[in-house]
Amino acid sequence: MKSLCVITLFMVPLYLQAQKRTISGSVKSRNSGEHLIGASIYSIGTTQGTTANNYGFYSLTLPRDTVHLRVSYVGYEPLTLKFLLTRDTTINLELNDGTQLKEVEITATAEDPIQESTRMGTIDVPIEQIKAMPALLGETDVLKVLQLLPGVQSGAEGSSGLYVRGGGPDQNLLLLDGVPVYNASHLFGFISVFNADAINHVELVKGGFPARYGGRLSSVIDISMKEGNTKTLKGEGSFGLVASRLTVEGPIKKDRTSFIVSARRTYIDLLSRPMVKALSKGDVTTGYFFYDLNTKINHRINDRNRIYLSTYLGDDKAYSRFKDSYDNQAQNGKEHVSYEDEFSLRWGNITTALRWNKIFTNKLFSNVTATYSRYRFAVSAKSENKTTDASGTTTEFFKDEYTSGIRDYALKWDMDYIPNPSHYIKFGVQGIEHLFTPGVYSYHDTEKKDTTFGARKIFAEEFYGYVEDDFLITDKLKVNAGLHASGFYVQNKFYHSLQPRFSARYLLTPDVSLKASYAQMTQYIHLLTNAGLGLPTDLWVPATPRVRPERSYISSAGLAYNLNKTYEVSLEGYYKKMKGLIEYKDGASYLNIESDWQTKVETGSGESYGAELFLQKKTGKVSGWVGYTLSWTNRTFANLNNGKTFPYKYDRRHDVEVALTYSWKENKDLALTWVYGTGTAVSLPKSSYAQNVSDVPAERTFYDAGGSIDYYESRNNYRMRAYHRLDLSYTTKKKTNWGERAWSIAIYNVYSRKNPFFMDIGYDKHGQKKFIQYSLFPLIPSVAYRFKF
Amino acid sequence: MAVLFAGCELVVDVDVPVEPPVLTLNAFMIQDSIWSAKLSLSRHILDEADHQPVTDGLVVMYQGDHAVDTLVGDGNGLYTGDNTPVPGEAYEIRATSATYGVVRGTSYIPLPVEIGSVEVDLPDGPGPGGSFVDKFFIKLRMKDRAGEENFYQIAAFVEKRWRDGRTGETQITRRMLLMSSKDPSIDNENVGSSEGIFFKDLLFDGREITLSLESEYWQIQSGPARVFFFLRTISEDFYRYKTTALLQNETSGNPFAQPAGVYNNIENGFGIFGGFSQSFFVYEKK
Repeated sequence: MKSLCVITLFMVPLYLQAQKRTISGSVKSRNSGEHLIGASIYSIGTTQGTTANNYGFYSLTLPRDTVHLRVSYVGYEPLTLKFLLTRDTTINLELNDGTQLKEVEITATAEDPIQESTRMGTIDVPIEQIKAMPALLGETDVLKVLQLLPGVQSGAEGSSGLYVRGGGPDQNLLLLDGVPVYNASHLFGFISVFNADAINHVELVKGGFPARYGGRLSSVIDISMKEGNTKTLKGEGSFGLVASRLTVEGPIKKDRTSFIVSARRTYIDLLSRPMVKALSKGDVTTGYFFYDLNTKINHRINDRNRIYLSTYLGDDKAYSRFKDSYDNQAQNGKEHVSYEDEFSLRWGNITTALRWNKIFTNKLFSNVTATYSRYRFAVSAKSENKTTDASGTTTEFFKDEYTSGIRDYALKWDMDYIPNPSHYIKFGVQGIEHLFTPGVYSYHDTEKKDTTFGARKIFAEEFYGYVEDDFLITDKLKVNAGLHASGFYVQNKFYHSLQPRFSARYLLTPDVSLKASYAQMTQYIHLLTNAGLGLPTDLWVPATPRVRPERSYISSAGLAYNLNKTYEVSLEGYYKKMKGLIEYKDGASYLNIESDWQTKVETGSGESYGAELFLQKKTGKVSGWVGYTLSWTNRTFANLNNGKTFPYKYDRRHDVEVALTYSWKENKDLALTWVYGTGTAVSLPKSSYAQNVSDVPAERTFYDAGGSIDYYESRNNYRMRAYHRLDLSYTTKKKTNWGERAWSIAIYNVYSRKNPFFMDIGYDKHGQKKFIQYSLFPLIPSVAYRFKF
Repeated sequence: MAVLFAGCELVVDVDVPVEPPVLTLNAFMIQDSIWSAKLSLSRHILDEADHQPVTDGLVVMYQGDHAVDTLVGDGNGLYTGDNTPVPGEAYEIRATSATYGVVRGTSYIPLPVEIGSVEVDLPDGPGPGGSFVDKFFIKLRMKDRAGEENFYQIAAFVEKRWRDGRTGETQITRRMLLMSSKDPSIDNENVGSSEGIFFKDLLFDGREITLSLESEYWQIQSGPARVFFFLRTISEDFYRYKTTALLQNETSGNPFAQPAGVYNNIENGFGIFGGFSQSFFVYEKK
């Protein structure tokens, strides 16, 4: 009898489980067939629901009964379904684009209401909102919009570098379709490589990292490319002051195979080349350009299998060529000499991802991804002299080139398992083979000498595995707990790390939750950067037996509040400790190829703490956000600043961001951004003192001891002026018989604030010695013409 | 774009507090040379006046608690004594000004290390095809003292004698010989400055070693010359001061470089108190 009771007790859950059925499928846009990442699917009248993953897949297990589902996604008309759930069911859901609705109807709730989610420090910005924001020189820039979020600092004026919660620009994992992009800068950092027309979804994670993410200390920026319209051929493009772009997408086979191609190129060089040639009488050619190309093919093999192939290719090139010729009277007669010099600076990324989505069961989703990523920087100079005389032509040449870069091959397998609405389990593994070339110099000349020296190629293997569960414990308490285990093998040294991840939310009321999180992160690669501007000269280098990996420990806690399902408010406090940070030693130079980079760096630690307030509205006539950050960020290096703690260059006590769009008519948008930040920390001397010593005989003092020495009390001891800037844009759209066209007028730095770029000592107009602040951008108007067909 | 960037300078007032001037004491102990020191005042960073010499100072050298010399001022801030420092010994220097207080520093003068030999490898003639030969090579032999951290400076100057056509007198010019080194025994941090090569014995402690150096041939190419090679054993203070001062000089004017602070071992003031001993070798170029 006792045994029977025990068996019965064990059987009850199985019986209950047997009484449940699973609904699964995908959520797409009805117009484009594009998967809606993060769309919300929940059962009305219960607390049970789920969200679509990065490939639009969802799975929701509910009791056998009449089911009333609501499906929603920002900017789309919500969909409600009512049906009797008697068996496992596949429903592929399609939502209508909100542009077909009246404005007031676009009030869909956020994908996963902020108070419901366990995630902290995670923000997604709708791509249409990104495209609506005013942009420098009219070039929409994803990373510059992310700089407008709390906890994210922008670094130097105009730069697209990100400094997240006190971290450096190397501590951000920039993923484009799951592939790391190592240098996201065009135009020396002023424009990022991400073409907004090719992007479907952007998510920033700056804390409370789920276990599936790893490899960087401070943030993950997960950017998904569009998959290509599976219904009809569509296109869009623009002509701007700096660049033009064109995107074409459509079905190769309707509802089965689609493609997207998106290209962008600047034309500064094309415009300036005739002028330069005319001014130099044809002797000089100089210019700069960048281009990028995104392509993707997406093929649905059957309802359970789908493959994607996506690539990114981008290059920047600055170049100058000079040629001339003359006649010379030599000993053995007249000779003609012609010579040509060329200098070029080139950098660029290539990324490729081949993915295979497989739905094993209606609760188990798999994604296998093979990726390739390469970043390469090269600076070269070559010269060729040709001398023609009676005896023939002789040619002399030389070419020298400095290159650096990083190349990855990776294979990743991610699984989503959703056994019931209380658990969302993710697990997976990844292996990466890195090849680092941190600085190689080669020289060739007429005598066919080929001299190559500099840093050796370094191979390294990185791998990780993870498991996490988003677990609803009670209606009020939900946790996401996981473990990320990683390893790195380089130069016969093996580093490994176990990184616990935890985040939780507790619902105080249906609209307010209390949240907390903890994450450990390990980063096995470093970026050597001279100026922190995201310049192409920055070097990616691995952890080595001599230079250890970077580690961070991040705790945060806060409140999330959903006001009237319209406004999302979050308040988060955080503390982050970082170890193993590297910086160039004072005065070290990346181009000193005769010394190993490992001898040029110092290692130390850092900490950052503060609070962030974020108010976001994703829908309606007025949408956007307001953010405020109060933070402190410090660094401590044993061999810098006499070992004393000093403020990080981008330690910013106050940071305010306002980003709003106002659509007062269906075809007219006004967008505004305003930013304010405490001035950047800078090292300035307080006083100077004499350097010269004594007048002893010349044989003894062969040094030229004179001049003066500037006294710096400590590193980053002063603040530049506060940074603030207002940008505006106005866009008017018109339907045409071929599609839609829009004119967009934007003004960057409306009140022409002279924001500091750097400071130096100089002289004012009266000849007085003063501190001089140099700025980059005054008021800059721009205009762009956009079209869609 | 150039038009857009125009007018982007702004003179700003940075609140650098005006602090009273501080005594600056610069003194190097040199083997076989009498004590000497220079005393001056620091100034505000935006002040362009010369560093004011301190003429009313009292500069005294101590060994332990005993005063070993009192230096006498020349009225221009230079103070000299009667005695010489003893290599291998540590000293303290104290400078007192009735207006600016007392500053002090301690250091030592290292024992000299002799140059074993110097070999100079000059090019035989022009390079292939008459091309310009730009380098010549030097090998300098020395023996490091074992069991202690030693700091070195290698430097050289070129002495040329020539007859002045107008006066008929022999004139002498001396010019620093700029050198560099890729020798793996020299730690890579401070190679090739305008004041020679500074390095530690980190990689050859206690060993006899031949260091490879190189230089640009144009510096000695024309005519006969005497090249004086110096090997200095320098105190750690001297090493840290010179390397950081050179670094500050190199990064000066680069807005993207982190400015380098200069080592200072003068208590209550600025400056340096260090020492060195030296040996030299004369190479006669035909």
